[in-house]
Amino acid sequence: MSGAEKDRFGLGWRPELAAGIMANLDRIDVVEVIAEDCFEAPPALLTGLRALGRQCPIVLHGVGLGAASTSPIDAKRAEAIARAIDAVAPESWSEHLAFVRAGEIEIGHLAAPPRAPATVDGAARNLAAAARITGAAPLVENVATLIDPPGSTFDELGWLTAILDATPCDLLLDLHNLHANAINFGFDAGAVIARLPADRIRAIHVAGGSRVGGRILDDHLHDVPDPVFDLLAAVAQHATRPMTVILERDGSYPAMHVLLDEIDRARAALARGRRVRA
Amino acid sequence: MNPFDLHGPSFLLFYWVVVGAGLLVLAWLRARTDVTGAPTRVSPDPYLLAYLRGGHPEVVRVALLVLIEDGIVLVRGRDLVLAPDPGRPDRRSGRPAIEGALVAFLRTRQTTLDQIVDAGVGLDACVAYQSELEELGYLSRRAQLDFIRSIAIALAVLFVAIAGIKIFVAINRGRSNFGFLVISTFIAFALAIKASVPSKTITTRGEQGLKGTEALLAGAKDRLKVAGAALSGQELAWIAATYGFSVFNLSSLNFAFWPALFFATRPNFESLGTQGGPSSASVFGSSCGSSVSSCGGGSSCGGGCGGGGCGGCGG
Repeated sequence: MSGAEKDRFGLGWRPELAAGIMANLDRIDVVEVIAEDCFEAPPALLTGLRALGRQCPIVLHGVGLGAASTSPIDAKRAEAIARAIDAVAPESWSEHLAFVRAGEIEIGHLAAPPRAPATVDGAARNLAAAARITGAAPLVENVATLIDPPGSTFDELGWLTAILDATPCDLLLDLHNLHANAINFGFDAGAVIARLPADRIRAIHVAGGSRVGGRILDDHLHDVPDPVFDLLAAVAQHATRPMTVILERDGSYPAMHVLLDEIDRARAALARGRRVRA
Repeated sequence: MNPFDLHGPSFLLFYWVVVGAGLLVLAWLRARTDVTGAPTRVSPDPYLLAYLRGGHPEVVRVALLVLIEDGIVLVRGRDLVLAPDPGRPDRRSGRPAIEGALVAFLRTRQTTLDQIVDAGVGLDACVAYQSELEELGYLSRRAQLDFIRSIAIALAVLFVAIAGIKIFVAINRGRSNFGFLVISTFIAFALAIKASVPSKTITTRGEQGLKGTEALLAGAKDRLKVAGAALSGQELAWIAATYGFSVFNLSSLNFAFWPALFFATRPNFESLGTQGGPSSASVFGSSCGSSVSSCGGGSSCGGGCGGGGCGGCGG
């Protein structure tokens, strides 16, 4: 697996968007495929994705490992990710810093764990196990939350930084998640970006959400809000490495040109930040 | 030993050994035209896919779909006409050659899909698709198929010649019991001629590539059922190229191209396949496409007609 050598912009692969993606590969540099969608996929789909990856780099994105937990990850799930990696040959893979199950109970949600030393240690153990099983360390993604995780002793920045320090994993920085948390809990997202380790940010997610009772829900059903593009420019100003920027959209699909315009806005925002940095 | 001195069953045995050997050689040559292994990439162009599935006629249909959706071609009943003033600007720079050829053709006349296909519009562009698909290993190489055809015809002639010589020798020797040989010759000749015409030119890899693209676009196809789904002409072109136009039967959306491109004045395009098409597959996947009158009846088109897609069927 390898990383990007230049800034790239792409879209999350969703079956509903497939024709639009295929029709616009000249404007899409990279495609992000949900790892779990590959677990029981028909061989033809895996063949298709692998062939697509030869034209347009694919990155795999896990949503169900539950790496940021004091409980060990399910080895079978990590093995399934390994098989998906073998089948699709992605450039890299990523997973959320979330917990998704407790005991035998799947909560069906990417929940923010308590930001405490125990979950830092748990995440480090789990990510090491995942890297061992899959053969490559994942990028790790910050998650959004509507409630401040109880039992936390770190703030979000401190917790993320502690995990990056404890693992070889680089950061997939979800700017809408960061924006949502900043609004929901009243901190300055730009200040967090400025203090993240600049050489560990390798990928970016941008998405849209909705307001729920004064808080922002990261639902991926709406257009990317302006503040997220501003944060992207801030990341570009701060980060040192080439960046892979992925637009996530999970429903209420607009016309494809709307998504392509958002990708172009992301390009422009990143370029703006890069210019300032230069 | 002179085989023509063999008698009755012995000569027939010799004859069928020769025929069998010849047919085995043809089968071996045919197997060598197949390309296996995983697809190296997906088709970067819906027209390649359309050509792979249905040859030149299908490429024309998909290109017309794009031109109609882009507002460059208008549908008048079942006729197609160039828009005097395209409603939407041409957002795509450098249109593919097939679209350019169609626009040039429509500039001079109002016509139908069948007439466009019959006139061979866009065949030059399809030559490029054929070459690219051969390079990808999705289609058997034409040169190889032509070579096999030559060998098959030569063998057919050889089978007739061997039998002819034997019959000549038999008659000279006052014998007339060559009925089985005559029948055998007809069978051998027919088998050789049949082998000269490829049953399919799409390779195993091509079939895998097509199935892979079908799997990739399965969700996009399902979007046709979603009321209000915003699908561009390019997206529709990919769906049509991958699944054929019968897939639009599933849709409740109202497509401007429907009356001109789905309903044709002939049952299917198979007769045109030899002109520009690699596949023997019919471009119509359902009974809806098999008859113009099926729409008029209002019953056999299912969701397509009921959903308002048949606006032009009545004339």
